[in-house]
Amino acid sequence: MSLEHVITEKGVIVISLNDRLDAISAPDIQREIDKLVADNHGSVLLDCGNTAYVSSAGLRVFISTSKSLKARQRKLAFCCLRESVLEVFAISGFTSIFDISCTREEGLAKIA
Amino acid sequence: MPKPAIIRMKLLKWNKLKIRTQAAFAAIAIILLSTFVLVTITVMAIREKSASDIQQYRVEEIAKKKRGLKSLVDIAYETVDANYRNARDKEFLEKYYGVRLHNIIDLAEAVLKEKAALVKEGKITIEEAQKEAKSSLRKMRYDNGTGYLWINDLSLPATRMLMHPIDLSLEGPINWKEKRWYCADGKGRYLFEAFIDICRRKGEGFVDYIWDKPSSEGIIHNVPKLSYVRLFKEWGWIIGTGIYVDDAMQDAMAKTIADVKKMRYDNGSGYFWINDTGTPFPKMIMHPTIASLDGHVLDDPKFNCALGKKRNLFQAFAEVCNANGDGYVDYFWPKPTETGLTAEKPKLSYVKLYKPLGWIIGTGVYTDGIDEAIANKTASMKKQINTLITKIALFSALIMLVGVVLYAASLKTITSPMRKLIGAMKKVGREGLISGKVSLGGSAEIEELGGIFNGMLEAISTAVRKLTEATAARERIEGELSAAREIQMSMLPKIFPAFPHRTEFDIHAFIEPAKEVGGDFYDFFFIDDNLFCFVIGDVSGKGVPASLFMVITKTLHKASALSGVTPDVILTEVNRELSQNNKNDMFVTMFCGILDTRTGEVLYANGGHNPPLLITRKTGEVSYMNPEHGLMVGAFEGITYKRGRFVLAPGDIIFLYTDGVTEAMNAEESFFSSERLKDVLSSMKRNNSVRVIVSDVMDEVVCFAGDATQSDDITMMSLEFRGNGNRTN
Repeated sequence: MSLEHVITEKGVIVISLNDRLDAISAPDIQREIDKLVADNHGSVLLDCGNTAYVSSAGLRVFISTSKSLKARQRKLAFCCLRESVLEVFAISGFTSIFDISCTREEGLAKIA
Repeated sequence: MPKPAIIRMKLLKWNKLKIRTQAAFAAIAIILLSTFVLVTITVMAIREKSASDIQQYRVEEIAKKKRGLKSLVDIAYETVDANYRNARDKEFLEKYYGVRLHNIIDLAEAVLKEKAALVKEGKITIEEAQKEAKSSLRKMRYDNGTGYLWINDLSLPATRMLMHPIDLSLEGPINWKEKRWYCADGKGRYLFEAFIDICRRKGEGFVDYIWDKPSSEGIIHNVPKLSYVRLFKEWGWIIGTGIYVDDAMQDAMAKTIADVKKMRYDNGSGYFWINDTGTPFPKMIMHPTIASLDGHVLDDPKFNCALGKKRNLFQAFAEVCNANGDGYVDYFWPKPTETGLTAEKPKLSYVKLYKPLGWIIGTGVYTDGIDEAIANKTASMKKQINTLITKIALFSALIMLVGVVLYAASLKTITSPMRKLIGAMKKVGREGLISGKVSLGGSAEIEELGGIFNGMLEAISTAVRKLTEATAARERIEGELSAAREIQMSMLPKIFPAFPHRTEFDIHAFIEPAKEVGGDFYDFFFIDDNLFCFVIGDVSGKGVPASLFMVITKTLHKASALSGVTPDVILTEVNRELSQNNKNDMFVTMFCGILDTRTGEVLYANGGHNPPLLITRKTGEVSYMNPEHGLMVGAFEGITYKRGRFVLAPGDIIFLYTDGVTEAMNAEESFFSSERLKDVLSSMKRNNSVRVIVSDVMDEVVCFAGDATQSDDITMMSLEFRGNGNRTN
């Protein structure tokens, strides 16, 4: 499995996540993201436009990524969240600590 | 469905047949099939080859016949052509008529000489002599009175006709301006000039010209004529006589027809005929075997035997000749047989047009011989094929016979080791693995099979041993895990009603752990006489790490709560402890509240947990509360939680749950959902106790999930505030 991603001119790693982030897909996704973070130097914008479901295992991927980026003085932001995922973010309090944008462009503007 | 069942039964029967029977059937089937294929291919190849040979034979034979016919007709054609050319040739004509005309002129000249002699002797005068001579020659006739003589002098251009026995008006000077005299030598030369010229040069000679011919039917114009003239010097006279050369032509053609009529080939069976190109129907000029046709128009319907019996044969001949000068025509014609002219047979004719005469010269040959030869060839081919099929069939039968004998002979050597093997396997089935290995033997395959069987026995033994060990180990772990689970569950307050002596509120909680040890928990306890602390939580992940994390969380929470701080401080403290060195990024979502049992006031803090529901008994209203949303607990260091507050009126119930409820899945993998949870609670009876509320929701979840396996812990807690001494039911 390979996550779709682009590196912007300013070095932001924009990663498109797949439709389900559950206990089954989380380990692979974690590995992919870790690799992208290690191989590049920019902040990360996770595009959740395709993502319909995030379980607690998925949330752990975000926590882990956020911590490893923070340790390198880089940021983590999200964009294009669907309502179902946005609800999970709201309940778990993620909305209070992460930058969440409606569109990729907004996300990139905030993270830059 | 009776049909598939029957097919299946048949298949089963085939499958159940013994290998040797199957092999025998298969071998016979293969031999039969290959025999059939071999025969089919061979027969087809022979047929194809023969058909093309026959076709080739026909083409060659026809070509041969055609060449033959053409060369034969060419011979007849040359004969006709030679005769015709001869009849037109002046030299020929001179030769043909010369002697006769010469004799006649000799005869006439003798008369003149005799008269001239008499003059010399002085017996008569020259005038008398000439008069007598003229008179004598005037009477001379030959060829049944058609031949005559004339006399003219040597003057030019107005030559004097001294005597003409037929046309007396000509006698005297010739009107040399008349066109009709310019008819000699085929070039329009003045006729008398031609006469005088040849007489002056050679004393005598032939002159050809065109003249009118008297006949019984009247005058025929422009008939070629040949005259013989001789100079009688003494008197300066030219005596001449002529004949119409169409006579010569007719003679020549009669001779030609006679020649062609006599021509025969193929031992007298081949002949030539001649017909003209008359329209609408040609006329037979000569047919050597059916003389009755000669001179007749060929319009008899019996001649409609060309082009599939639709076309008059002679019209067909004329057509090809008019188009190409020559050609071939296929038709049917009576063939002379031993009994006479009876059988109609296919015939091929070659016809060639002789243009100068408009004659079609033809000869034909019967082609039934070719068809007979082809029929013979076809018959012999069929015979050849039948012989071949018989041979192959016999040979195949022989192979099968030999095969059966060999098979019977080898059967024992093949099957006896296999039987041994089967026996050994049966023994294993009967007595178990301890029965041991089979002895090897038999053919390579059987030996290999035996080896594999022995290897399999060994592998099975090993696997069984390992499985036994592994099962023991797993049972030990599972036992330990289940002990852990029991310990974990025993940490939760499980006795309800929990506080029977407290009438101002009621609480009920329920946990249905998933199969493995999970991370859900709840807890409640009094901090003092009036402050009642309740908490529900869900640790991310499953298994031993989650359950350990849950135990720690519960312990930290209780310790913090009992120190008398507000829920926000409790969560902040728990988070601080949990987030330190949290390598696995585990976290717990928890909702912690402290109810003042006197007033119904609830202070709470929410660490990323699902929002509780508020059930108002008075109105029956059910709604999701919108609590403060703090971050999940344990994930990040240095988080401070906010404190929230709401007041419960008597009869209000708050319902707490974990996502095991809302995300319970059915077989179609859809969630129970928070909407459904709200609907279930809304549709309940208003006076349900907290225990019934919880158990009814659980029933709904179980009903929804159906056969699907429970993948997450399901935890619910419902807390009712009643107010002082206001206990319902």
